[in-house]
Amino acid sequence: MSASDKTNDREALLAHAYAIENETAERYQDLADQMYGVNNVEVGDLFTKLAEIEAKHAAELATEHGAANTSMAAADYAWSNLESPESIPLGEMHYLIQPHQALTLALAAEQRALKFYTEVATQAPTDELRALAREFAQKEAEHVALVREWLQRYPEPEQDWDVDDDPPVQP
Amino acid sequence: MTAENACVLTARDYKSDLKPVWCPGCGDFSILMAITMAMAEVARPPEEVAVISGIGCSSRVPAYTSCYGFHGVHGRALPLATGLKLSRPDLLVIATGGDGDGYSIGGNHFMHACRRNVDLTYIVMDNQVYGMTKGQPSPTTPPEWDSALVPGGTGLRPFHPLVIALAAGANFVARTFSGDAKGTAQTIVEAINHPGFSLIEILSPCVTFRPEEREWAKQVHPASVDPTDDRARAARRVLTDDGFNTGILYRGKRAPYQPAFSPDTTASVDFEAEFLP
Repeated sequence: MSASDKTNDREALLAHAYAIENETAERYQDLADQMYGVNNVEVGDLFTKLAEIEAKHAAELATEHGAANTSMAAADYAWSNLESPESIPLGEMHYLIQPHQALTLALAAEQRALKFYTEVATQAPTDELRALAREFAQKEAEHVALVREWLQRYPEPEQDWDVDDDPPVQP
Repeated sequence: MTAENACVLTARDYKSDLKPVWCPGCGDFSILMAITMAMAEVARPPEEVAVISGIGCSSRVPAYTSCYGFHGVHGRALPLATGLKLSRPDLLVIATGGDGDGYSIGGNHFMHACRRNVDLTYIVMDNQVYGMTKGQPSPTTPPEWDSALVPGGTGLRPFHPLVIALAAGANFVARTFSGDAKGTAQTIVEAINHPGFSLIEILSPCVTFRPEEREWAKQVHPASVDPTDDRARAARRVLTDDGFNTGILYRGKRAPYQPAFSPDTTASVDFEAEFLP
């Protein structure tokens, strides 16, 4: 079943969009909290900024399009896994992760969201839905560009980035 | 969407306000998500669910749900859960914990919980190490695992929980991987809906003390055969697989143990009377 099968009316598409942005904001904030918990403040701050951007996007969906929490059952969403496409998988984290790696994960997440909306825009049954999906895809494209720009500011990690001078395992 | 699903319970309804303190990348994050998703699917309201645990990283789960919870004594999740289910059969009771808590400190309780076959779901997050206490080998640690604490490895044969569960009488046995949150959630739903004692062994990487377990994501694979109701056949399959087969392995037909419920009218002060001076 393709994404468009479950987003073939305005209400369903808005519900998906609102869920994506809210879950992504929540995930970024969860990851930020994890990073603050292990004193990785730089990456924590990056995730906090991303959480704020996604929360703002969710708020815009509510004010501009009337999107709201719909309490849809998990099976009613279009994504094939439990999570919406824009969420960074929890298992990808590491307590020594560096900004470049965090932003690489964020870039992949934004690209997944872009792909989702692009697919919906291609397959939606009405002009109105296609236009709405294209608008959402455009927003994700802006996020992709933003994360790419941020990535330029941080060097790629050294080969021994995960070597800890004060490791958790004590001999 | 219809008015009917306007009040559907979602995973969010089963999450508490507490943020998990697990290490970033820990498999338990995804398992918690799968548990809350499964509860939403089962659709029992949080006040009708009790999550019981012992001690360890994964035993923190009750605090992270909005259900009733009991973060109990090390290795004693199953006796607590058994007692609760027998006295309150109306509740959905889920026990959670890790391999050390469940198979070592609570090993004897594990066997007898399987044997009793009370209608419980036991979720074991197996990372093959004692994470909370900084990386000692657990009963499921491979014998050759070399670490600063156990140079050269233990040389000990690992405990085989699924075979023990089958031999002792568990009525539902499954193995999943934390990285497959959707599959894990579906398996939890099936375990809850299956009568009797259900064991779900979830491979959950400890990224801090067993970083090599991140590779499990590439090693796990769905079991190539359907679940069986033949205990001996299931045991043979589990004994001969590579430890990375996932899916429901056994669905038994034993009736759960649930004696007729007779409310005890003894007041708690009466129990305490003999201890008073």
